[in-house]
Amino acid sequence: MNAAAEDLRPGRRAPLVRLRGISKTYGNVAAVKPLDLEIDSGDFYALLGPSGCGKTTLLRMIGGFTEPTTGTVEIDGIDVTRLGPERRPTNMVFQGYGLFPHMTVRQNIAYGLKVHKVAPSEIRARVDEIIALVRLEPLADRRPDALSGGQAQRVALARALVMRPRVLLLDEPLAALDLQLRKAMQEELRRIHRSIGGTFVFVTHDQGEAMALANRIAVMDAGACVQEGGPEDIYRSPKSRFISTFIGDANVLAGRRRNNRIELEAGAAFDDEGPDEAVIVVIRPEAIALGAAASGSDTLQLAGRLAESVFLGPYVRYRILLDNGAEAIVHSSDLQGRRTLAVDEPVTLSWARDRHSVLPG
Amino acid sequence: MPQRPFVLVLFALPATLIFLLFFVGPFAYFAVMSFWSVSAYRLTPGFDLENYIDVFTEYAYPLGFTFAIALAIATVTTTLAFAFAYLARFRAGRWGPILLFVTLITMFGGYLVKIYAWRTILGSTGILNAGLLGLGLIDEPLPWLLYNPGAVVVTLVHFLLPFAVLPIYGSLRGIGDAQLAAARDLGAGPSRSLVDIVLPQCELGIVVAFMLTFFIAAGDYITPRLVGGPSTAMIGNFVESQFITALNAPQSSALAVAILAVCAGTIFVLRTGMRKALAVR
Amino acid sequence: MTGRVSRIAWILFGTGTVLFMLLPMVLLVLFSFGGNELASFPLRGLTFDWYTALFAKSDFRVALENSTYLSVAVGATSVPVGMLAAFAFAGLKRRRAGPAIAAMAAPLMMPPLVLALALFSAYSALDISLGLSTVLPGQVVFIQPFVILVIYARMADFDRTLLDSARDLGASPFRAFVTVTLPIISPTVIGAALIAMALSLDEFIITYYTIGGGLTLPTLVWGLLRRSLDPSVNALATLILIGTVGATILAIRATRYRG
Repeated sequence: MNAAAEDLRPGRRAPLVRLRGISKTYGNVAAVKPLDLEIDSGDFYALLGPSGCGKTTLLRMIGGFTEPTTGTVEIDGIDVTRLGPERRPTNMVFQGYGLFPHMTVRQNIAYGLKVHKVAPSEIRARVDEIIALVRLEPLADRRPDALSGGQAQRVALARALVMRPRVLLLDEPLAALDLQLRKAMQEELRRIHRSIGGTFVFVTHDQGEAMALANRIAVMDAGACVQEGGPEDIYRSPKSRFISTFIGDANVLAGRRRNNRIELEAGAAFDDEGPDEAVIVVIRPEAIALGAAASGSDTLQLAGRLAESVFLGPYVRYRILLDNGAEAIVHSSDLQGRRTLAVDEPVTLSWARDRHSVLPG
Repeated sequence: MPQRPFVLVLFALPATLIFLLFFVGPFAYFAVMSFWSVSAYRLTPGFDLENYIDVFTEYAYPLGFTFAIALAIATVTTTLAFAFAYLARFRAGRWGPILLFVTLITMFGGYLVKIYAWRTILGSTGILNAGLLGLGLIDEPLPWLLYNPGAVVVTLVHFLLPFAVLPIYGSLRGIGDAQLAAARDLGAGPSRSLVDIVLPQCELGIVVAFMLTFFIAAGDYITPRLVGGPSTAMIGNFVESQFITALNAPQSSALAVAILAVCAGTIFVLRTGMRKALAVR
Repeated sequence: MTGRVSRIAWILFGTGTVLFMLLPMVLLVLFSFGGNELASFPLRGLTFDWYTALFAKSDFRVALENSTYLSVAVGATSVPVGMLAAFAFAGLKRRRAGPAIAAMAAPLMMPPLVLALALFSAYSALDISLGLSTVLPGQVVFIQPFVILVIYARMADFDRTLLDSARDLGASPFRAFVTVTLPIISPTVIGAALIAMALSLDEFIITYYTIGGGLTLPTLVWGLLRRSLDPSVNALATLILIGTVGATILAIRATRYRG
């Protein structure tokens, strides 16, 4: 999958990180199948996918911790494929953080600079600067065992950032945090990213996190990159059933195209050009409205019965049993409407044609 | 788990009693005995530094010799054990558990039996000589492989190695892989991470291993007797002979206390030295 | 590439050390089956002669009986005692438990000779006659730290919420202990028992000085060694080896020991 041809945005400079034909095979298991990827300077880039999809392996290959079986890694125009992590202009925030328990926060952060023989006065200045950036001042002289999860994470972040890497790599950075903390840390990460204007690449299995943080996402499945692009593009135009259900909720309606017309098993039909084949139509729950819509050739309708409605705060989630037995999920922020609907009541679903995606099924 | 203090004390009681009655008590009695004397084969309580004076005059040489050889054994064993434990934990991958398994196995098999085994290996008709003869490297068996301090060192290092590996490995296990990956990411090579990251965190394991090997080597008497030959008399030999042969328990006790004190002092110095050397600046 | 060189160096070192550790024992086993009188190469044929000679000695049967009895008794004593102590320490904060366990481990740090002579002196001062019963506590005092350490380490990983659930469902603390804790830690306890028995089987110095006239397998080894060149000592040593190593292997399987 060639990213370069796909998104040649106007005025785009050469990418900062370029992976070409990169793959990793262990024995006869392909953890990462040959792929190309490009990351621009300033990106907050997400490698998103379920466990085992190869995203961490890919990250480690960018960082130099895993040697690729084939392909090259270029950073800032230089081929770094044969270089170890200590020679690449990257730094990583590891899962589990890897803080040195026998050193204070300050000493942890200063360690990399010490190893690179930076002058003590400069070390002090840079460490202070980064501690201020991640807001760790009161904890600077504590040991890691006296820190909470979120604090430890910030130390790990600071320790990597103080090295001023061209690319910061993060391996599931927020995985160990609880929900509230995770939201707070997401904000922190965005703020820090904006503040230093660096390039961040992170790995996550949480699609909400990917959407919240990244400006570009590469969705991975079974070692291959199945879609790459901005969060909105992926959300609105998923390229496969897997992607549509992995990212956000989705209704997947089965149907068939014949003579340039699609007929859904659930009932509706519309014109759509393309080969005769089985198809699926994907619609996001918030794109569907309950009740008959103003008729027009650009809206579709389905009939069903209400199975369940759950009040979730900002919206209500309705589960509808369609005539053919399939289920549809509808999210509605019309909170009043819920009161007038009873279980088993017949309802009509409608949506605009430009809100759905047709994919080969 | 018991939380109330009363139950805690109750649970710890049997072990503590055994500890007090069969270790602290006898040892204290034995140590006090060092100030007594013997007249006409009868123990006479009193307070008398005669035995200690003898320790530092008559037995000064064996004391010094024992100290030196025990230090050598402890140092060699601890270093070897560290290298081996490091290998098993960080470099051996899936062979690590196997290495550990071998170590555990070799902890047993009998102390006497191992000494005897080394006697046969190093002897004139032993396999080392047989091997060298067979390879044509020598014409006659080398008599000096056995019955000297070197043989004592080899035998004790062999016996004590598994006991030293275990506590060090235990310490190393507590060091997460993420730490070493981070150190590498920040630019530290293997030797740098060893000094900065690994050693400070396994200080406890190293000290325990050193203490174990040092004390046991210093007090050994069978090894020097069986493989050390007449020239290698260690304090343990005298502790034993004074007690059993000369029936002079107080003298024996004074010798034992002396070597223990010397060992304890050395450990203290070592520990402080290590702390200073590994302190993070 | 330095990576390659250091890899080879490590492999050589590892193999060398393993051979160093195993060699003497392997040789011993070999010689116990060897046809020669002297423990040397070349081996003249394989034979069970030394084993039959060994079994024929009446001393051997006595020693075997005593050793078995002793090691079972030591296991039966040190395990409950050590287990209780481990529970007590597990209830303490980590900071307090450390020094307590270290103190219990002091007997390990002493030269065994000193311990043995101290016990002997104490026994004779109190006019206690020597026998297997005086050997037992001497062995227990230096074996119990092993048991305590092993079980304490297990308790550190023990999920306390299981006990909470049991209590919530109506079990008394004692019942929760018997029906929840014990079954879960039983592999570790069995492992500790086996290690205790192996250590007891192997023990020489303390036994020698506190047993009076009695015999165990290790003291028999000593006796045979004194009367030099009795090759059945190899057979005896091999048997002890099999016993202790066998017990250790079982213990490792039982506890799934990871270090």
